[in-house]
Amino acid sequence: MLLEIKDLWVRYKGADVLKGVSCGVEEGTIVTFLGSNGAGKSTVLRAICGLKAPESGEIWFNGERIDGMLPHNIIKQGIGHVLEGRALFPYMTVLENLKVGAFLEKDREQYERNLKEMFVNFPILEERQQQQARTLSGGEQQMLTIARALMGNPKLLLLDEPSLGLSPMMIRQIGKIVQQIHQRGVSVLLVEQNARLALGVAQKCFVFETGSIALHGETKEMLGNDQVRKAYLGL
Amino acid sequence: MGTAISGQDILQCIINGFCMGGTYILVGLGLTLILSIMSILQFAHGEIYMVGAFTVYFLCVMHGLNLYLAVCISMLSTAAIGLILERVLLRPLKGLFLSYVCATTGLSLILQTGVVLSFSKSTKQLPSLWPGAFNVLGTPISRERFVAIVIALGLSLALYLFLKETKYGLAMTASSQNREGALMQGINPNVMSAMVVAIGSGLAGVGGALGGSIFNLDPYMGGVAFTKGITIIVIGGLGSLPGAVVGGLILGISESLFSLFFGSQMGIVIPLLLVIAFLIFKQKGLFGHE
Amino acid sequence: MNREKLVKRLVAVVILLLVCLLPVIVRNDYWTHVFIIIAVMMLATAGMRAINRTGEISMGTAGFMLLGAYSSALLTKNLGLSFWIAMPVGGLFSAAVAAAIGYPFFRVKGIYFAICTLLTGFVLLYVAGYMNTLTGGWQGLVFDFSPNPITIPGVGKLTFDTDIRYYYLAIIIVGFGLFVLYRMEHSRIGLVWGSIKEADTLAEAVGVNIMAQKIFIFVVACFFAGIAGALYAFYVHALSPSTTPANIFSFFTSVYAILYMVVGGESSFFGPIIGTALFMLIPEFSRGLQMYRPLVYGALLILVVFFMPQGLIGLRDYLPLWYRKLGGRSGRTAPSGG
Repeated sequence: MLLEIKDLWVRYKGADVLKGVSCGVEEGTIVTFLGSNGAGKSTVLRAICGLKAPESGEIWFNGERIDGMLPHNIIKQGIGHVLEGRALFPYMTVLENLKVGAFLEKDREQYERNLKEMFVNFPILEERQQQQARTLSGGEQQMLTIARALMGNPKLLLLDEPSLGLSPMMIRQIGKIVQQIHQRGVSVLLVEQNARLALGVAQKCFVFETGSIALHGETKEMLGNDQVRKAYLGL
Repeated sequence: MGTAISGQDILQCIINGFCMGGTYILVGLGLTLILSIMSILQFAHGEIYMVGAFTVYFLCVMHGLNLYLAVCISMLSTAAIGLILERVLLRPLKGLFLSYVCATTGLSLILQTGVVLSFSKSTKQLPSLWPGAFNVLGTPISRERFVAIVIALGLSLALYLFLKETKYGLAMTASSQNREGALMQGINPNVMSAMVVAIGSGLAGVGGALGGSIFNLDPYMGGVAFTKGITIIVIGGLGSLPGAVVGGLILGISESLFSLFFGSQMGIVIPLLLVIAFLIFKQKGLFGHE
Repeated sequence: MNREKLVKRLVAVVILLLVCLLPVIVRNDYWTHVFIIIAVMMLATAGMRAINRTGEISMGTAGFMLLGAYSSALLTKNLGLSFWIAMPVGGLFSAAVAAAIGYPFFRVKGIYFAICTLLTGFVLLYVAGYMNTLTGGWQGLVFDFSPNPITIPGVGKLTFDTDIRYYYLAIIIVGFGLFVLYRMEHSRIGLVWGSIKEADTLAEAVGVNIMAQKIFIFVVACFFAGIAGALYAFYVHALSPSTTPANIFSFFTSVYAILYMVVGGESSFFGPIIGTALFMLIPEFSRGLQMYRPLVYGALLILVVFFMPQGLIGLRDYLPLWYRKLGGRSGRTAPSGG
């Protein structure tokens, strides 16, 4: 298992947001966390990256225990995080944003290769590379954030609600991009409210409900079960 | 009143003020960087400026070292002080606003008193950076002020290039624009803090050396420098580098002009009022984006 | 009334008695002078602390003292008003200025509010120095008016021209101010301030008008700072604006006020008061070390912030422990709920 979460408890100002969550991501797969707002999905991502310290529980990545580590060190282990709300550097250009994404990349040639690849996969970014990030449209910004995270060559990419605020066409684009990322060998953990998008790409799915996992399993099985589909996935 | 003010006077005033802006810029740059990356206002920043000036005094006047060499050493030593300051005082005090205010204010008192005890309260002089004056369009422009502005703009340019072209510079810019986003690229926030305080303090040290050379030195010059620093970063826009440069020039020129027309005290007060006005009405300043 | 409360009341009474009898115990005009200045600063510091209760820091305390001092002095000197009118009006003037700048100032985030107050202090100082004709400019103002004598029917005339009499006047006025601030803090209003400081979004959600509350306490605190300034003025009979540490209207005073509050303990009403008394008495016992004073103050600020963030008042948390030890020795059990 590339990423393993064991019995995670997270608390915000006295209220338990995650109650003993256990889940994981196998190498080379796409896993999705589903659930309504406030169910705790994003909190798991923040806990993985060290942005929020858990009360108890363990988080393992690539054989190393990462809970308790500082965020920038966790990223160094090979995780990329596309934050909710994108967290771009608004007054830096597209190119500069990508450069910062490659901060941990020591090899100049590898950096150049990555950059070229990003421009091939996201031609709009090449076109707008000298523009400030804040001038991009919602969909373009989302692509930039993803590209920026990929510049660091992560083994695992955490995507937090990438479809938020995007048009249906853009959302389909995002789906394609996630699959492309997967094809490159990067494992993906996708947090989404848009079940259709998520289940269209993920192999495995965890459904969150008020801080716990209500249901989990292979996507195929879940979609095959009418009850599950209607009650939990809203499809 | 007295004699009428001529066009020549005004021109000289503007140019002198422009040059004075140089020392302010060096104080403001550090202050604005530290503020944008660490969200703290370093109340001892003015005292770092003052220490820079006294370091030059110590090396140059008391031990005969070449003035420019002394200025370079001063810059390095204030940068080092900045590193220590960040590690010992600022880093452990994460978060609580009152703590930063108290700690940095405490440090400023310590530095002031330290200098008073080591050098006495009396005003001192540094040798001139370049004695004499140019003749520009018929008006005499002090050469040393010219040197000051050249150095200040030069350092500003160097800083700009650092922030735009180097990996760590870009990382610093990124950290100031989105802290979490920067963390998620593997950027170590402690390294960023250490760098920014070191750079900011080094610049302030040079500012002090230049200011001390043009004017006099005294252990309490830091407070004035700090106030000027705040003035320009508010006017120029918090977190903005070009803002600090432009703000410094505006402050220098307006102080000069106000002094010419209304007397030196008004020259000091009006910028303060401007700051308050800006903070209230135009928080972004001229170039800022927070 | 349980034992703990009894002890607290006893301590309060003893302190009160001490304060009242101080000039009698210490028959020394110089010390009386010191006590008066301490009382003045206590009031100003308590006001600043009240502002801090809402989570803001004012670095302009000295400026508002200046406002109260100058306005009351000038009213008496130029318009012949009695001290008893001039003093409150001085306080009101300071409060009015606070009200005028309160709204715009509080619109900005914490640190920027602090900067605004800091700059205001400077501006006021320079304005006082600039307005030569009105305030005597940088030379300052000298006037020879003491508070006017009051006639109490049946008892006779009360004059205030000696230090001792002024001391009692000062502690009554300061005591009144502290009492008002104390009552405010321990009333519903005080709870509201606490809620603003701790969780302002929550407070807003329950209908607290944060802006109005902050402006209100700012105005009240500046009123008392003005009163403190007026008290100072009518005692010292000479005012001048200056940026040196020795001058009471300089930026240093504002910083020292913060120091007194932090070291004394900002979580308790009495913390700043203790801090003020302690810090203003220290110089008196260390005349020879005068030049080291700011250094010691600075070091103390840093040490307190690092090691004793609750301030000296935090020491009283150890009282139940000591008390229990005493109680244990005499065979009695400690009061429950202690």
